[in-house]
Amino acid sequence: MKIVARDVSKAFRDPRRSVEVSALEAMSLSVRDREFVSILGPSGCGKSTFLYIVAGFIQASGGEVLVDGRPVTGPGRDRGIVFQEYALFPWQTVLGNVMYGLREGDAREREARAREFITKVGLGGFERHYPRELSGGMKQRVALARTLAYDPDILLMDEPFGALDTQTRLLMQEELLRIWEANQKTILFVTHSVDEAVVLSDRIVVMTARPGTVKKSVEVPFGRPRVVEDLMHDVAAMDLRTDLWHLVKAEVLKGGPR
Amino acid sequence: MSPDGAKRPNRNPRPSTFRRDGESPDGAKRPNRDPRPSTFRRHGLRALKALARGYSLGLLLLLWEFVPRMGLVAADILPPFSTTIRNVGTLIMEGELQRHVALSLVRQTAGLVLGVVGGVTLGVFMAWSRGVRAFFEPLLMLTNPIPKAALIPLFMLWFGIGTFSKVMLIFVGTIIPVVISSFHAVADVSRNHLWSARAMGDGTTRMLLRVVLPAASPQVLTGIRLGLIVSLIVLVGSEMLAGREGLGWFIAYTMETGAYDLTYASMLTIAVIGFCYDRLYLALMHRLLAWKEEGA
Repeated sequence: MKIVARDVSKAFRDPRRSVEVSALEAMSLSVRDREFVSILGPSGCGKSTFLYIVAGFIQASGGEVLVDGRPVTGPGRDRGIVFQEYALFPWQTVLGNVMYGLREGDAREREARAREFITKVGLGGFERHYPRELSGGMKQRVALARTLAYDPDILLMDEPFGALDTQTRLLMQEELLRIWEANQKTILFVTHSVDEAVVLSDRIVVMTARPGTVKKSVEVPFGRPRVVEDLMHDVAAMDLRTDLWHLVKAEVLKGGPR
Repeated sequence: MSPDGAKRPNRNPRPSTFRRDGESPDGAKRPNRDPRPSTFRRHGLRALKALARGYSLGLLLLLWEFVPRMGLVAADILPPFSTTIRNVGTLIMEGELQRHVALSLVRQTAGLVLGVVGGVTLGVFMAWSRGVRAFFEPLLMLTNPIPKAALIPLFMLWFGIGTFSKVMLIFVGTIIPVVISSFHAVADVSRNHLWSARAMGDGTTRMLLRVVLPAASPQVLTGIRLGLIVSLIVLVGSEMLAGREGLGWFIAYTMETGAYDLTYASMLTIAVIGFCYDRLYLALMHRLLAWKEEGA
């Protein structure tokens, strides 16, 4: 197992009412090497919190997370992160951003590697642009290139396409599938989109409303390589989406009126 | 696949002069008409615009020149602008002005550099440590509203009337806006930026130098600009009250000896230095923040 989480819980202190709020409770999850697992749940269910605990950004209140059998104590270069937004360094060019995480080799080798990954995500020619000159989709491509370039074993993705318009989002999903199929990594992918989870994952973990825990783990039976369009009208995929939506809907409604 | 929705940087936000009248946007020329305004007209227009922007200044200088010339004010109370310029020239030729300007700038630079280095360092520590913040915040809140000129006698008492006491005063005057802006800027650095750096294996030093300081730089540089203005005010004030050298002292000296024409000359010098200093700093800031959105 690449990632093992056992009984992870997290309580936050609400500063306004000075009470403890439980975000996660007894969350257990195992991810195999090179598996693509999506965590699906309503907003506020603690799925991002769980991802940040795996990343080592925040500490769990209870339970443990093991990566390659070793307990997580902080962030590490074995686990790359892609956020939803605002993670690129705006004071650096595309090239500077992608080079940021590179440590091996001299400056020329690092630049060559960065350029390779910029081309890989389809942004060849934009090396000297600043993030503000790029569209949302292009920024996420750069963020992906930055993380892939230093070659972490695990990709932790926190709704990486959540801020994009539908078309761009579909393109980015195809792009991620293409990259992942060529260069398999273990991916833990947080999303609140049923469609996205079905298209991308090997397995989908549905979470309950806050305090979040695993409600159900669902295998996605479609082979690879996958084509996003084919799954749009596939009958089995439609059934799977319907089932998943019922699971999620129950949790969304628990959160009160929307 | 092609990158989605590429936004090309607009390096020239003004509409092209070439397309103003003769040419329609699709590039089709109208018959019998030169599409381009003449070079002369374009240059003339630009010069006129520049002039229009500074016209209030021109008006002031005209008044300065002609009010004393027409005898509305006695020329020894207000010497005309041209005479003042000539006086500046004479002072420079005698070598008097440079000496005071150089000394004043050395004092100001020393105090400012200390204030910036100390201010940014303290700002970072305050943002990162609750203990440091709890210790310094009340002190800052207490000293910030005190007009720094009111501290001049105290500093003379403590540090004498020489350069050291003036540098210390400028240091105190500049560190406050720099600390405040750095503290807020560092506290505001986006969590995703810090976490991204950590995920890529950054230790605290690398993250500080390559993420926190660049991210904080827009606000910090604005704080330094405030400090710069304070430093000039405090400098001249402290020199006027004590010492035997420096631009501030020179102004006070010309006043005491009744050489008002030289008072104007030295005041003009200070005004020009302050203006150029600020403009240079703005240009530097603009360069450092070229990565930012317009209006940096």
